[in-house]
Amino acid sequence: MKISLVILLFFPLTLCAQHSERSPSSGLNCKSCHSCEYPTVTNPCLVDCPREDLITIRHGVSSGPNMIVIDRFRERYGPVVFSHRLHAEMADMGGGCESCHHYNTTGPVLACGSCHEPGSGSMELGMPGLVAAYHRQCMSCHREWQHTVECQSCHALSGDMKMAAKGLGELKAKEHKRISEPTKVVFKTRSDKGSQVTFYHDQHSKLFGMSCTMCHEGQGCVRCHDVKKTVLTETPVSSMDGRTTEEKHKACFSCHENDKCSNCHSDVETKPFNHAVQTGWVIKKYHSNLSCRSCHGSGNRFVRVQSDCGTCHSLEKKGSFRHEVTGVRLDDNHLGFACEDCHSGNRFDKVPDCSTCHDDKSWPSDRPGIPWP
Amino acid sequence: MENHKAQPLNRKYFTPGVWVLVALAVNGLIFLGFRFYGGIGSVTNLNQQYPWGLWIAVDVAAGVALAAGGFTTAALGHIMHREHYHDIIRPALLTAMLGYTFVAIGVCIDLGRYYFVWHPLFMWNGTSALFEVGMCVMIYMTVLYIEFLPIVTERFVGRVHLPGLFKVLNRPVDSLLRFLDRGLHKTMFVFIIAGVVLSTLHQSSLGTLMVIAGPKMHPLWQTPILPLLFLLSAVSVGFPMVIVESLAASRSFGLKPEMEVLGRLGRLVAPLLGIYLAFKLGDMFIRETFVYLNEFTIESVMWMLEVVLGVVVPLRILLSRKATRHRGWLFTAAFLVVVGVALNRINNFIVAYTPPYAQARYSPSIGEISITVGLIAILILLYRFVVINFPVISLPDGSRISPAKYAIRGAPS
Amino acid sequence: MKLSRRSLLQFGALLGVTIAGGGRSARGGPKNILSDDRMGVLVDTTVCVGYRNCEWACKKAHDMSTLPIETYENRDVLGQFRRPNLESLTVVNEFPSDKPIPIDVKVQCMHCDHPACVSACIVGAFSKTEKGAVIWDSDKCIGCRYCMVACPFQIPAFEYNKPIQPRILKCDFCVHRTANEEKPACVEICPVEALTYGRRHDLVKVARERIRKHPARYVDHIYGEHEVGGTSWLYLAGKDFKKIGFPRNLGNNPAPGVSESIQHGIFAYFMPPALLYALLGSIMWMRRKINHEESASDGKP
Repeated sequence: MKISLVILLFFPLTLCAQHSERSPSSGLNCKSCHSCEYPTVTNPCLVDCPREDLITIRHGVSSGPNMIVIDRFRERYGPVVFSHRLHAEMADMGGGCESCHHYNTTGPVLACGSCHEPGSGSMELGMPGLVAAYHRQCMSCHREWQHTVECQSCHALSGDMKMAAKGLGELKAKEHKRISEPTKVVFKTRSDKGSQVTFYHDQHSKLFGMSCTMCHEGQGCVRCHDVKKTVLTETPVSSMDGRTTEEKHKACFSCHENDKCSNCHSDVETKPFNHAVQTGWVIKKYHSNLSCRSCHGSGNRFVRVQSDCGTCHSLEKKGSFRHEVTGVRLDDNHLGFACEDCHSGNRFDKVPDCSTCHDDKSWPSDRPGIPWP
Repeated sequence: MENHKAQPLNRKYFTPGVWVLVALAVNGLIFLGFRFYGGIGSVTNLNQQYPWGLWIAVDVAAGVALAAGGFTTAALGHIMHREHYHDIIRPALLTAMLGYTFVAIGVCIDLGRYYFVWHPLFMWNGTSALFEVGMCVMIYMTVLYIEFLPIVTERFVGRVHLPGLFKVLNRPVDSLLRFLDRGLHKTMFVFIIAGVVLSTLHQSSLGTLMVIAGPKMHPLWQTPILPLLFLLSAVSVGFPMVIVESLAASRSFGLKPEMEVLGRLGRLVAPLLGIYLAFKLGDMFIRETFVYLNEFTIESVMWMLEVVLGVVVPLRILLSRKATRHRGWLFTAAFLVVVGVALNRINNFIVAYTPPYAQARYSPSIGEISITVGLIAILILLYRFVVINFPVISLPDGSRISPAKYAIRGAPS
Repeated sequence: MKLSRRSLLQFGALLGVTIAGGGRSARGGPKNILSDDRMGVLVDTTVCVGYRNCEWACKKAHDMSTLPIETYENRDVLGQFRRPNLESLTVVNEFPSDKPIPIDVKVQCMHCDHPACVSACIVGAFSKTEKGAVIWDSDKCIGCRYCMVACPFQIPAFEYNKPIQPRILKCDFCVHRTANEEKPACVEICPVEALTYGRRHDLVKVARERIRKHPARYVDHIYGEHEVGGTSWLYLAGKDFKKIGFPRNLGNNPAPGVSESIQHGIFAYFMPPALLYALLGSIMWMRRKINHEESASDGKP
């Protein structure tokens, strides 16, 4: 009686604890409803209902399950203990959840079995059955670094359940070591354009939002885990010796192909990217919340933004623009004007022109409103 | 022209040379025993890459080619009706008959299931070149035996002497022989023409055999006109084979060689060889395979040997009128042609065959060579036996002025 | 001079007959129904992991002796280049690639749409079934091994060491299983489904779709779609097929094409042989007549 009471009390508590772990404050986060990073009114990218408890492939590592025991075919094989969290951590450093969950809509993460039928062969010719799907997913990576396809590397032999249980405990606690990311790498070159190339690694990955695989292509688990060490023996990235000019520039050229040499090459260590210094456009309050891609396009190469703001802001819809975001709240006299009346030629990077109406006023000594906020 | 009459040779069978042949034959038969006891693999170097080897190349392909003397002399003597050559028709016929018999035996040795050798008679496959070869060889062999029958009847009509109890059969056998003799007398021309047609067909189809191997065959030999080349080479080797055999037999039996007839025959070979060479080289230039002769490989060396030694050199010799009158030169030239054609068959079936996944080049084993040599030895022994006992080789016979009896058979007189 | 001119004429006739009608279409011969519903197998070598379960299953399905399946985990055998032989009708070979994973290629009879063995076999012991399998009939075979000479993929194997009833061994597409609507043994066991069994027409579509979806993963070529006139087994790969053990210079024409057209040329309704026969007969008759006249005139003073 007592025990059952304890269980009764304990169970919901633990459930709650798990829940709060996933979403500390309200039980909801942006990802619960929106699948993309920056939902807009026109493209809110809402995920399917119900959104509560819905895990999409854009969730973090901790949102997914920790351990999964695959024992659907327990009559034929021992159960396979799959450390999902550990693998998710690894995937996070590479291609993300999609590297395994290859078919996903904005909806919930689908289990393999929801498409792949159990047994071999299925409704669709050429779509592997569940067994084959599992095998393909596991072996494609495990083969790369283990070089074997032994059953025992995943399957606990039937009857050897103790081992399986032990393995379960071990794996549950195991965490993948985070890969330490360098802030910057300074390449010494023999180029006459400049003896140094300073590469800000963290800016590329975090600020510019580049995925690891954009440069580190095909350098998955093998880079560290290869038991035969075939891949590790290759020259490290920082050493450029013995490579052709083309090979040396390959990673950079996917974006910087049309840039000048001096963009990267210099005789001294260059400073990190600064929007104000490099482009002359200071990122102020509102724009600082945006990712680079929100203005510069989603392609590999960033697209130059037109100085008339029209790239992002629609000027057609009068009144849709809240002028206070610029730091000035227009007074009633100025509210009705078209942008162009002050900002001639819609050149918002230039000083506004007051002379159209006022002979004696000029920016910035005179303002068309009050400072805001 | 001296008058000749084919008659059994009055010679002793066993000579030292014959004993050597007997030894070789026995050696071959011992290996043959192993082949039938332990399977083909126990005596040959054949494997999954090289399914055909020495037996097919020499016993079958070269055997058929070298037995071409039978149909070429038949065409010359009977169809073109050249009376001068009648003396050599019988030896040529005998060679062809024995040759084809040994081709058949060779095939049986090489067949994994020799006891099913009759299957093609009932299970037909019209697309198969081998089927055609098989059928033609079977029919042609029968035709050859029929063509040879008059020699038997000539030998035994009125002379049937069965021993012991079989004496009672003397009369029926004799009348059977007489009946055959009369029947064949009227119909022989049918068989003679059939023999030539059948030979033409299977000599060429023997070339078609390897066409299907496609890129597995070295480009120096692989060509769609392989059947034509095989036919042309068979036609050109027919007379040289008769010359070689006639000269060899006359030496062995101590007879005067019939240089006059053989020399004429030798001069016929030159244009035939010339046509063969023209087609061979023409094909080479059209397909531009001469580039392979730049490389120094087994293939290029063998090709050069085959063409220079087996075609060009004898052609040069035979173009000289003087050489064709000289016993030694004639023999050399004819022998070279024979070697050249045999080499061509070996090249086509062994040297040129380069399968994509071959681990090592095939070379015949002692067992294969022994069996082939043994068969050839038995062939020669049989030839000797027949010419000693049957009227095959023509000898000068001043007393009688009639051409060989056989020669006028089949004439719609 | 007269003589050589005549003999030339004669040989000219022979040649003409031999090479006449070279381009005729195939006619007769053994059974080869190319049904639209014929089956095939698509082998995706980028998926194959070289587990060799197919080798084991094949032996089991054909009552051949085999070691237990666990022994097939040993990958050492993949180091040597193997061919289908008497011990196994299918083998998996491994080839190096420029990626971390080597390329594993299963090899067995390709089951050609226009099989050279079917065309070549002297007794028609081979046939192409409606379902696509190229099978061998032990009751007919005489053991001549011409099929081995003919096969462009060098597949049939012969039991050289059997004095009685040696067999030709090759993949039979599991006809005894497919007749019962079962998949071929190798296809069924493959743990990663590198093998897909289905209608050949559908498989070609599936293969095209895979290449379209993953252009970086595959070379843009379905091996067997057109090779030697098409084969029932189709292959996809991430590397040039010539570098992963497939035979070179096969071309897209059926392997027995040239040989068959020569055969049919010679035997077009038996006309060429009959014509040759008639020609030789008339030459014989004419020559005889001339000879008789000559000898008659010789007799006169």
